[in-house]
Amino acid sequence: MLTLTVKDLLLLWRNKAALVWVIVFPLAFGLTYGAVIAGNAGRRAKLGIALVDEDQSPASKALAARLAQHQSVRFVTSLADGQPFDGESAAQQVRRGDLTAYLVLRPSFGESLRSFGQGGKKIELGIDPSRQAEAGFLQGIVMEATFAVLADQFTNPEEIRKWLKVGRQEIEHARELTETQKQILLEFFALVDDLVPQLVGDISPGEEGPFGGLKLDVVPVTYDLQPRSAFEITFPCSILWAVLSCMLTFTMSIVTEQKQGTLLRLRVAPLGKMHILGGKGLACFLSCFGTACILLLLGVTCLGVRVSSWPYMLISITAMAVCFSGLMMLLSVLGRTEQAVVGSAMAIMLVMATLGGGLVPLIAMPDWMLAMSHICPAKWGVLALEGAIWRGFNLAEMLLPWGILLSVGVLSFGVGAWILSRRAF
Amino acid sequence: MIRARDLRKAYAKIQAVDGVSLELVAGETFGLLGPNGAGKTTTIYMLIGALRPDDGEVAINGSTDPTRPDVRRQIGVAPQVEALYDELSAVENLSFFGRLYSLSGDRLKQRVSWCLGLAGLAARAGDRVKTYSGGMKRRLNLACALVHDPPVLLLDEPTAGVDPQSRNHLLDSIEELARAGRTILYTTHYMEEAGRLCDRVAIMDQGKILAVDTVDELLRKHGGDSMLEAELGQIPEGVSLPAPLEGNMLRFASDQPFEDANRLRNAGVQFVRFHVDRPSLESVFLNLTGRRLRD
Ligand SMILES: Nc1ncnc2c1ncn2[C@@H]1O[C@H](COP(=O)(O)OP(=O)(O)O)[C@@H](O)[C@H]1O
Ligand SMILES: [Mg+2]
Repeated sequence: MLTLTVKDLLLLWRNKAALVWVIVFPLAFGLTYGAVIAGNAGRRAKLGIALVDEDQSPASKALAARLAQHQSVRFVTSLADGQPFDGESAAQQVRRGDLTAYLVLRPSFGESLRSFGQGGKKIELGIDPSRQAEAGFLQGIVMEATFAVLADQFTNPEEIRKWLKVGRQEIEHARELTETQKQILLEFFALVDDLVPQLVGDISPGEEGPFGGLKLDVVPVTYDLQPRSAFEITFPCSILWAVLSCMLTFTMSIVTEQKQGTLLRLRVAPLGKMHILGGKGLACFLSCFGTACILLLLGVTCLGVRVSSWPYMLISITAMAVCFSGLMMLLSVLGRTEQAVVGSAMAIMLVMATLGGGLVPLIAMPDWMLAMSHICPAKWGVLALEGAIWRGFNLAEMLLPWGILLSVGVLSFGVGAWILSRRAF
Repeated sequence: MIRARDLRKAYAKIQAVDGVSLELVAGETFGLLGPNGAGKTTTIYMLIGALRPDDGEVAINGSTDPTRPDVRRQIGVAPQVEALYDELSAVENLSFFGRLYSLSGDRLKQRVSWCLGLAGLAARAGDRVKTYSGGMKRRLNLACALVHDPPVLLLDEPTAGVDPQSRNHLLDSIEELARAGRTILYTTHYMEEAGRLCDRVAIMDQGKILAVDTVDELLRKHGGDSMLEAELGQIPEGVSLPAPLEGNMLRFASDQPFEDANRLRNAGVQFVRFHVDRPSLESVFLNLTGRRLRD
């Protein structure tokens, strides 16, 4: 069986075209993709937003100032020629794609803040429809800033009193409330008014007051270890490509051996069929494992990829190699001619690469695609690698992707080998 | 040595092999002669256990299971297609196949160089197979069946599509192997090859074996008569000719053309030129099937 494996590895080595696909292409992919992401990271850090402050009240200014502090937002208040934005020209900029969004604070924004948004829409947020990924995020930070401004005012007794006064006026003028309801609410407001000095007391503005709970804390999801370089994000994809290429190469080699008749020679040699299939599988496994290791070493030594856990990394690579060696066997029985097998294997490989995040980043996938990627072994392969690079998975978290990879590998090897041996032996 | 009884194999619609029985005795060269699609390859596949017969039985050296490792070690197969690794050299191909038969070390080296010599490839032994000509590949394909020095050889159209020079080389090699006492099953659709190499020939068509015998016997039984064609000079009065003269040309069929010619000469007939067309395996096939061998 080792003889068979060595022969296959030698053939792979001699096949320069396959080598390119197995090593050079994934590497080039990782490098360019990594460079693109690295370049993007700087720009993407700041979303360009046109700000139109029609209110010019202390509250609107406070909101603008707060938003401007946010690290991922860049405010633009005027056109290139120095003309300040109005609502229309701001929207225009977004439509043209020059800016990601525009934010209009309508007149009396400050007032409405006191009355909990009574009196119509005072904030208008327009977002480029092609930037859906950022839309929720932007809404979030605008909300957060608004609440923060609101909360600031609550820690200031004067502001609270003003707010309570407005509130009382609102209640008195409210037509939909019965007299009794109004009475109860007014008494409640009076009570709060009395309590304000005690409540706020010696709390200085800006600190967490009793109303600080209103603050919407948006906590970004962080990992203990965040990707340090863009290459840490793209390297799992490179390895995925490498392993997929190995898989394809060996799938083809099985079909070629069938067509060329060398498989016949193997079959009439004094070998069990499991030796023959096992030799193929082992060769595929070793080349998957080997190329993954080569890429990984290049990544670690040249591109600053950090591996948080080497044992996990090795197991991840092993599991991945097992998985795709198994799939190789299954793919090789998809058709009887070289073209049929290579064609379908190519298609499947592309789907896998896509779902695994090799083409479209997982973050940009529509929901249905994400859901589909759960049944795609490539995704679990990438996850297993990421788990050992920057996601900092613990053992329990690693077990799921490992388990999926290993069982997919073993299962598909079994099915593929069974079909192949029934067909050709 | 090899015995097959009533082998049958059908693919989806085609009955590829339809009740083939044959028996090879040790040391003989046995030809399986038939046109493309006759079922020769399918028969070989069943003999070596690469294909399970629908029906019938194969016995090799007494063992009815050709997939047993000890049986396989005794058989060398040269498939009809060149079953070689293009990216490996001749030496690497031979060594690889040798190792499959658990050869190693000096013994392997010795066998590999013997095979290279037989195939006439010693000079190009280190080059990749993909740089070889068709004839060289054919020779290596035969050599790869011989690395493990098997006493039984199954050669499936080993000369298909090669230039005359390589063909001659191949036929010489096979004759040499036969002289060394190997049992050879040789399939071909070239009757001259069967005639030159084989002790016995089976004529096969459409999955059936139509006749098995030595070449001479086949010719005698199924070849029909020879054709004698002669240009005559002086013909004495009163000599009766076996066929009417056309000008001074005499043409007739006979099972003993030379005796007939001799009798005429003794009667005083002068021969300017004469020419005998002996029956060939081609005419044997024609007589057995009503079709020509190569359509
Ligand atoms: N794998 C196959 N599937 C279907 N039909 C086949 C297959 N192999 C051979 N045949 C058919 O079986 C018949 C015998 O083929 P084969 O044994 O290759 O003939 P030969 O070797 O004498 O040329 C042919 O009609 C051929 O088309
Ligand atoms: Mg054939």
